[in-house]
Amino acid sequence: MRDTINAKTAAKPFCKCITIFVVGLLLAMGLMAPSEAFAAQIQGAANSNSGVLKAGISDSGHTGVDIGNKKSSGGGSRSSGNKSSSGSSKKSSSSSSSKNKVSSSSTATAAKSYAYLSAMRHLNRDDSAEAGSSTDEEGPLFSGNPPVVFDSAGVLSESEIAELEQSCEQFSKQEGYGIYIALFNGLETDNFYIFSNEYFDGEGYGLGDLNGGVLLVVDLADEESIRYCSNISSSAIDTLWDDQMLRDVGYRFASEDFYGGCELYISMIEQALLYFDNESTSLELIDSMQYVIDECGLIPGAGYEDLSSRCRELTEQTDTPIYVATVETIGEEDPEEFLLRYIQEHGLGFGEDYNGFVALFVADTGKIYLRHQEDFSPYYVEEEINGIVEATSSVEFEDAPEAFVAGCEDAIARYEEATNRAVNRDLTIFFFVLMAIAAVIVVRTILKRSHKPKRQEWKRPDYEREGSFILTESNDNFCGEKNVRY
Amino acid sequence: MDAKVPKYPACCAPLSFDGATGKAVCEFCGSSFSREELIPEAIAVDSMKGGVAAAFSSPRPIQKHIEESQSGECPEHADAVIPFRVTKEQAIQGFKDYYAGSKLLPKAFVKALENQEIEQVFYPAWIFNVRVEGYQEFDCKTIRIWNDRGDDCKEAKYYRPRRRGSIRLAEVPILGTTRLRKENAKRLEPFHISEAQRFTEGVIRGANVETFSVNYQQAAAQVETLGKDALTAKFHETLKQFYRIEGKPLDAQVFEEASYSVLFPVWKLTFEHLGNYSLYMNAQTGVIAGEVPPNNTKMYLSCIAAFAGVLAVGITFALALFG
Repeated sequence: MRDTINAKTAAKPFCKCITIFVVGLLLAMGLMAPSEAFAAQIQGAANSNSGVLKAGISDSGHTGVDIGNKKSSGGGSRSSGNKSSSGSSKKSSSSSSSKNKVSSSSTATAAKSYAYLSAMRHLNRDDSAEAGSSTDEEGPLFSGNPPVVFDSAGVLSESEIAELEQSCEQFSKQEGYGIYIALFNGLETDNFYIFSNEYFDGEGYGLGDLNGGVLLVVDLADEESIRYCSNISSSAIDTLWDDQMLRDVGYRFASEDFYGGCELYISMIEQALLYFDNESTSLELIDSMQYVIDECGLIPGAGYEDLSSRCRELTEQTDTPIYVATVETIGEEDPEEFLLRYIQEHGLGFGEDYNGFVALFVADTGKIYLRHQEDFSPYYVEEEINGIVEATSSVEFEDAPEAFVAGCEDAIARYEEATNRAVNRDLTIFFFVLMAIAAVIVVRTILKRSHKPKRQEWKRPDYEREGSFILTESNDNFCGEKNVRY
Repeated sequence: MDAKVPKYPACCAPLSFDGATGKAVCEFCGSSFSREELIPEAIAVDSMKGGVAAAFSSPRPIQKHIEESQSGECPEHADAVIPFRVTKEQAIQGFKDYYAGSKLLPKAFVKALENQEIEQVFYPAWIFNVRVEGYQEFDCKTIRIWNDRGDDCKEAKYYRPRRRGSIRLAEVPILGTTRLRKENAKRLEPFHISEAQRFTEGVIRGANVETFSVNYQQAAAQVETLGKDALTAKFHETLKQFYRIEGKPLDAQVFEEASYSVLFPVWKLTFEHLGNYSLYMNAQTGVIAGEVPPNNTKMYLSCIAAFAGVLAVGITFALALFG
């Protein structure tokens, strides 16, 4: 089974709705054609909305990942007998696979898609000499095991490739999962999604009987063509490796920091798989994050630990991460842009909006820059943020990080106190509203009762003269009786 | 038979009616008296026994009286009048006491009392003494249920009781005007007819006198119905041993023994509060009829004040404590 995520930006909601509607309609009507090309079109459309859309349609054996929920919709593993053919993976290996599968059984055989084949032809033409692969246009690119790091784009130096391979292989030996990187430049394929999936299967990536592995596929010619493929079902990967992470890696590539992007990818996968092995909770994953990044050594050792733990506590308490970062200089760069770039590079903040509260302390100018998303947390209203800024700027620069965290703590304390007071106040007012209603009822009852007229003795007039009634005939005349026994 | 043989108040001898002269004749002294000469004193002395008026109207079926009554016109004035016993001051105090303690009295009502805007009103009424004789059959049954050795048994006995009898009603007032609602008139009863005086202009001076709008025929028809209902009710009282009673039509005749008209004295307080309202007081007994509507504006304002007051205290308290 293979989990795939496409790092494309979210499309407009209208397009998303249209796509969902069309896909749903086609599924409902059973009109999904068994052709892979058609399936690929649908997949492509679905992937264009991958910010929230569940990419549930793929060719055989490939299930999607619900990015919005960060949960794997697939799961399970691929059969060992299907090493060389992606399409021949066992359909019964995953129930969700069979649910989401739209291609026919014939499509699930060895046939490769047009996207893959055309790309392979292109690659074989260009790279056959370099890769030492076979010249069979429809065959795999590599005759043996695929390289751990395949730099078809030629953007990595040999030493960088060696270092990356070393990192990947070291982890692979420990965990039994393969970590791979494949960089291309100008793939001639209609559908990068299909290509990446079949590339993984077709070239025999993965370790062990289950072909466990995670492959990063990047087409540098197309900034949107970055994807990872895996046949490891791991909620940890889904948790960590969401589109934000993809974007972090993609950002590095876009910045032409190819080695850094690959390194970040490896570290993230390692972290995710370690998390998966330990069956950690998402909270523990958060714990492992770095809240204090002291690049210029502003914060002493003991203080660093203290600040880190306090930031972590604040994060746990508010679900809003608090970061303290110190740098020597930001150079000539606009502070706002620098801070944003810094946040993206270090993966600070949650979610697509880098939700969090970051304080950047610049040593050479002694300036402090704060950044937060609007409406990112009810704990930090504008007034509180102003208070934090004031608290942070009112002390010496060396003490500013401590003051910043303390200010955040005070803000939260004030918020909670205010919340409690507000709750108590509202409860009290509510109680008195009830009392007021009761008072109204009492007053009304009292007033109504007070308005009753005085009781006066009165009896119905009796005009009969006493003893004037004379009964001259009184005959009861018995007519008969009826007896019934039940 | 006292009612049929009234006595002359001077010598207490029985009076007899001379149809030829249309006068009552004292059997002892032979004096003869017209109706006008005799009624005031007679009513005052002997009204509880049927009234001297009976001497001037033979006890025959009331239907005959209705048929023989040529004119459907109402009388210009009543035969007798009951004088006011409750003074104006007492009446005002009575009205005040009637709703004492009420916080919702309309301003108009209070103002009317303060200004002593009450008026003396005489309401006309017909007074009848009647005897009702009748016969009625009923379909009745009795039911007995018991348990006999585990069996539920039910016995129903059917009867057709017959009742014949008579009843005498005295001083039955029938309101002679429609300007006083019947329920208020009922509430004001009883008026003591024994205190009635012969009608004179002097007695009613200074008071408003409501004119008759119910003539004799209409009043007699009402008293006939009333008399028959009274006899039926009496018959029913003798049938209490039966389970279900269905009465056949009553065959009865109502005999008028006496009839005359009288003016009832009433204190009337009128005020305007979202409409015209009146309170009536029996000027003999002090009994009051009618009702004063509550001043809802006062009530709503009081409720709003109470709500706002408690809420204001609550909000102040909450803000003082919790900011």
